[in-house]
Order: sequence, then structure tokens, then C-alpha cells
Amino acid sequence: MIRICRMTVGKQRYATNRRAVSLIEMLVVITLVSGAMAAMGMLLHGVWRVQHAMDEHRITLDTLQRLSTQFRTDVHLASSAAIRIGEQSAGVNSASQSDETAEPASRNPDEVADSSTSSPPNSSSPRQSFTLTLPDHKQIDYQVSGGSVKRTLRDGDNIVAREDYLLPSDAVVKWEITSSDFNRQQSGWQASLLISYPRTNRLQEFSGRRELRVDATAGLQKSEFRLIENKL
Amino acid sequence: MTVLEVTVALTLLGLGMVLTAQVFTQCARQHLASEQALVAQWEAANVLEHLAGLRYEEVTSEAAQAIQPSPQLHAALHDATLHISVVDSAKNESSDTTAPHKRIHVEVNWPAEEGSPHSVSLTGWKLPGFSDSGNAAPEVAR
Repeated sequence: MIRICRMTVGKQRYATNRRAVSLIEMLVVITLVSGAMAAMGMLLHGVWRVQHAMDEHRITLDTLQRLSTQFRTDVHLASSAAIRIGEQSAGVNSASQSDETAEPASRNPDEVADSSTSSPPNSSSPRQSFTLTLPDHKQIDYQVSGGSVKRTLRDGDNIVAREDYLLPSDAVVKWEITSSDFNRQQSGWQASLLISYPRTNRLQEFSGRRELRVDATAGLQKSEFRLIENKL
Repeated sequence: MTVLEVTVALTLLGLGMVLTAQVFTQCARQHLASEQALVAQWEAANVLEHLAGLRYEEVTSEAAQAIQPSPQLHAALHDATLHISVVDSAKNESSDTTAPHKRIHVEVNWPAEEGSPHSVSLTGWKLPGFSDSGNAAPEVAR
């Protein structure tokens, strides 16, 4: 339907070829354009959220990879390990030692230490830590606090290095020390890092959890011993 | 505004929304695939770590066959399979190196959503006489 626009100015009447639209048509068009813009806005917001989620996911995976590499390297170099939950020591070690000293890991395959109490990120849970002692008596502590794994390298009372590995939200970390877990032919001890976190950040109580495990065998890197032998 | 114009505009809008929805789907798939790849990589590395912890003479094909996929792998990748092969340089006539070693190849395969199989493999070399707990040589990941 085409309407001719007619205007009256004073006593003069004008008729133009401009196409006229009714108020109803304008309202419909405005509504449609608003709907389209709202849909585009929602889509743009969705794209932004997806980009943010993907960035976060990539950072999480990178962090987990770095943590696993660092954990393996540390265990390869270590001469002993211990797990501490709160004030108690749950490591593969003798009970006669103080909490401050990590003990040589036992080679008895039946001895398995497991920090079975998970550590949700609230502050009321007992703090647990995993301690490695290097052959040169340096000490590496892994501790979960504030939603991240904190690695501290100590030389006596001095802190030599400190690193933070930020975990996904609501992640649970635990450690295990064992001599053997598949065919009891293991000649050294092993330490495992277990990380569990929700698959999605939304509706965490309904989503499943991703379970990751890093196993590391002690005594695989003897570069320091080799270096000493070369010097002699 | 004719019916044709409205139809074209709605078609374009619908096309844009479909393409954006595909981007969302692709992102979700990528998210899942990267996590699955991480689980598979860690599984292969864990197996290699287990074998590296054995004595040199204990690293055999039989010991490798005894290793079962971990519950973590099954939880993330239901149909994943684990293949481990141990090649002894002493038994391998085609080996061109004189130093004795055992080549350990770990491969994790799993079917992807679109049907194409995915795999992660990790190879390590075990050298004798280094220590009781052995030594894992530099690893090659693919």
C-alpha cells in the first residue's frame, strides 16, 4: 500500500512523492529493530563470555601443565617426601620425627600415605602440605591455600623461590605417596598429585568433576650426583 | 518496507544467529577436546613414569601389558585405549646404536565426537646401569 504524503502549511496544500508510513507501521518497525538489536546484544555478550571462558580455560590448562612438570621435576630430584595434614604428618616416614623434618620415604610397598581429606577452598578445612627434601637438604613445600597451590623452595630458613599455581574454582587437591600401585615391581617410591575440579563454573553442584592425576617417580634425575662426580 | 525486504532482513539475522550458535558449539567442543587431550597426555606420562621407575631388566612387554588405564582416563574418555610397546635394542637387529636401551612407546587413542580418532603418544628410552630406579631419557611427545 502506497500513500502520498500531503502537507498543509497555512492555506497552502502540498503534495509530495515521499512515501508515508503510519504510526502503527513505525511502532512495528521500532519493535522489530529493538528485538533484533537485543538479540545481537545477547549474542555479543555470549561471544564475550565464551571468549572469557576460553581464555580462562587455556590459562587453567597451562597452569596445570606447569604444575605437573614442576611436580615431576621436584619428585625426580627428591630423596624423601612427606604429606602433612594440619598438625599431623601423614608421610611415608617414621613417626618419631618432628613435623618440621621430612623423612626418607620408605620402600615398603604396603605403606601408602594419602591425604584423603580433601581440601575445599574454605578456610575451615585443615591445611595440608606436601614436602620434598632434596639431597642437598633443601626443602620444597607444596601447600594449598587461597585457591592455589603454593610451592616454596627453602634452603634452611631462607626462602629461595616461591611460586603460585592458580587452580580452577572449587578445585580439590590431594597427594599420595606410594611405593607401588600396579604390579609391585617398583624399585623406588612414587608421589602422586590428584586434582579434581568441576567441569563447568555454572551449576557446579550438578556438573561432574574432572579428575586429573600426576604420578612421579623419585630418583630419576641424578644430575647433581653426576656433577659432583665430575668435579672430583 | 515490502515483504521481500522483511524476509531478506530476517534471513540475514537468522543466518548470523546460526553462525554465532555454531561458534558457541565449536568453542564448547574445543573446551572438551583440550581437556580430553590433557587427560590423555597425563595418562601417557604417568605410564612412562611407572615404567621409568622399574629396573632396566623389569621393563618388558609383559610388564607393559600389565598396566591398565587409570580410572581418571576412563572417566574422561570412556572408549579410550592404551597401547604400550617396549622395544629392546638387544633383540632389535635393526637398531643402529651400540648402547643398550629400551624404547618405550605409549599411545592413548580415543574416538572423537566427529568420528575421527584422536591419539596422544609419548616415547621414552630406558638406559641400563644408571640407578636402581632407572632413568627416563628425554621424551618425545607428538
